[in-house]
Amino acid sequence: MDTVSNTAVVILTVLYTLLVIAYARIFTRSHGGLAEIARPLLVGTVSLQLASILLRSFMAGACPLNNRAEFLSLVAFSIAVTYLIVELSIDERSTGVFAVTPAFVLQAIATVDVLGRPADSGGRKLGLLDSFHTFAAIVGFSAVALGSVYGILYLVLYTSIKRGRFGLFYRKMPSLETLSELNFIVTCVAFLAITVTAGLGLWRYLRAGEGAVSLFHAEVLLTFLLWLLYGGCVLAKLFFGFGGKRLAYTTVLGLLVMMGILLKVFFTPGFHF
Amino acid sequence: MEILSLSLNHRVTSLGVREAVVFTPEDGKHFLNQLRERVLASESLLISTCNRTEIYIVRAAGANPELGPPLLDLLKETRGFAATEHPRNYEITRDEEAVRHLFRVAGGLDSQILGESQILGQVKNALAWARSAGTDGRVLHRLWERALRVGKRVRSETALGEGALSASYASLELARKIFGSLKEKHVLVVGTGEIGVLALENLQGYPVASLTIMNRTASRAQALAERFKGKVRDLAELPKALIDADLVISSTSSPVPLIRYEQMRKVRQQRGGQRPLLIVDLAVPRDFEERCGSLDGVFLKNLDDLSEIVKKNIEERFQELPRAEAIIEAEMTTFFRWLRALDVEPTILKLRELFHAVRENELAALRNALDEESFGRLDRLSRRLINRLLHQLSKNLRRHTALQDSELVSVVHELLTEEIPHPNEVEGGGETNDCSSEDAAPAPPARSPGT
Repeated sequence: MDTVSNTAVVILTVLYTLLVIAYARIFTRSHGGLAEIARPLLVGTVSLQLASILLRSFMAGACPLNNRAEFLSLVAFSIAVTYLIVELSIDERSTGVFAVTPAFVLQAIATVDVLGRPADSGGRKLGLLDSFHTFAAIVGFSAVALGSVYGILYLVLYTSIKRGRFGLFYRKMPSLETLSELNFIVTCVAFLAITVTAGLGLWRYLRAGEGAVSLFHAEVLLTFLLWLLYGGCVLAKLFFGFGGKRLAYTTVLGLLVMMGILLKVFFTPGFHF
Repeated sequence: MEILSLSLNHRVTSLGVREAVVFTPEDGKHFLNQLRERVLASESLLISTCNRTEIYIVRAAGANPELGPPLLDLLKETRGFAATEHPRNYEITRDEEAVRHLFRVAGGLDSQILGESQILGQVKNALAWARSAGTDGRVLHRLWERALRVGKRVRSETALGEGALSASYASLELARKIFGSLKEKHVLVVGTGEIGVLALENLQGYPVASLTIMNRTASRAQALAERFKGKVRDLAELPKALIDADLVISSTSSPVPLIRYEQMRKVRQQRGGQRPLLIVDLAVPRDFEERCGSLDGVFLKNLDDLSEIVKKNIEERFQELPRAEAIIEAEMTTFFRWLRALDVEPTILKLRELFHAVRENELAALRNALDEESFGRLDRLSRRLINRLLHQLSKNLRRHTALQDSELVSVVHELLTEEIPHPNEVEGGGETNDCSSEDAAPAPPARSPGT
């Protein structure tokens, strides 16, 4: 089991490395080679990782989130999936390097962690409901992170044009409108995933019985704030044409809120740990 | 076989000479026919544009070994171009250099505007001219295929053709960088002078949601609106028109700004939301007060900004040159590998003839000894056998030729064509043949009586 898992982790790291090279070549418009197969490579990587996650889930009877390596690998996976959704929706590949690079870094750390730890080092074994809750949270937070990347790219390009800096960044980036559109797609993914996370969390709370945990806990309140922020963005875009610079700032703000939640969950005692 | 090119291009040829040697399609066809008849070119092609006239010739076997002089004579006769009077106004290149030159032309590396794409269409047309004149052949056809491939690869794999090189196009490039597509955008052109008309002409290639033209003289705006399928608004309504516009190109001769900061601020408020507005102010003095550009969502760009874009684009194109050159070198390797493989074709043909002649001779000897069915089987079997043997031999010969192993090919050719005398014959020995090597072997020494 561990051998299969470790092999998969190493193969995935190699694939993510190739993805970074492929998308970097697309960004610099170096055609041929890996740039030509970037999308099939991305689909292949995501598929292999999904198969690996499902296999581990099936064998362990729970979502594979027993240790830090598995957590990081899952975050890398959700970033890659979110980016794949974006790429397929709008057929824009020039920003791929900004998405697959963080995924590669996380996967690489996961690999080092896996290869360096004893085979039997385990962690908490999550039940089915908790697994879904955690998985949805990871997808949502990855989408929030990716959205903030698009937000920052938008703001940098906006400033470049405003100040008349027509260098490399200006030439290589897609249009402001495209970046805004990419950001909106990611915002939708984030909103859906946070809704599922919060919904499952609430259900578990109700099943656990009143008083088990407080709904006024900081991480719950911050998650609610994040949900409101992204839900507000989606509605404002659909009904009032909200987007561009304001959406960019909102997604950067969303990243800060998300970091607050993660800090609360991982570094201070609460109902999660 | 020799490939020769004669080029009269913008780098070396004065405009006066270039004008004289421009060919119309009919002239070109006639000239190509004359090339075949008088210069004995087995294949020829002609590219003729305002910036260059280029002639490509493949020398036929047994043709005049020096193609340059008769070609120049023909050019003098037909177009009045005397090479002796303009010795530095033309370039003659051969083989590798000729092919490299053509590939550079097709890739836009030899164009006056580096990376321009029009030349690729003209290179394509040259093949059509040669086809209609019947002067295209196997070599030039393949050469042109590769040249067109070079052109496409350079444009798709490098940024050599990217980026606007004029202020007018740079403004549209900027618009695309902000809006992506202009399909759903409202464009406003203010001023209908030379720059305004140029902007309208450039906009023709881009579908837009609406086009509005404003000018002090309404009749001129009306005429242009009819020509470019736009609508006209009074110049006094400019602030109102700005509320709906996404892209504004302004180039009036007004001595004072048409829009001041305060007006723009109100426009900005009325526009609402975050809808960006790009104003390209090409007027000198400027039509929009500089401070307008400081407003959120308003991108105000002037001639200096556009010049900066053009400058960066030119730099970028020059940076792409090594990548384009690498494509050319790769395609040259492929082409010359194919060309060298052509040299082996006569040897392969000879080999085929020899093998089949032997097969037929042997079959003929058995003709009467076998019934119809058995003979048919043997015929088919021997044919298959020979073809399979030949297939492998031909494949290897072509491969060796492509790898520049001409020695092997010439050895095979000699073996097939020359009667190589047997050593015994040379020494005046007895008669023998290739099949009697065992018979011809020296006899073992006789045993001595004592052993």
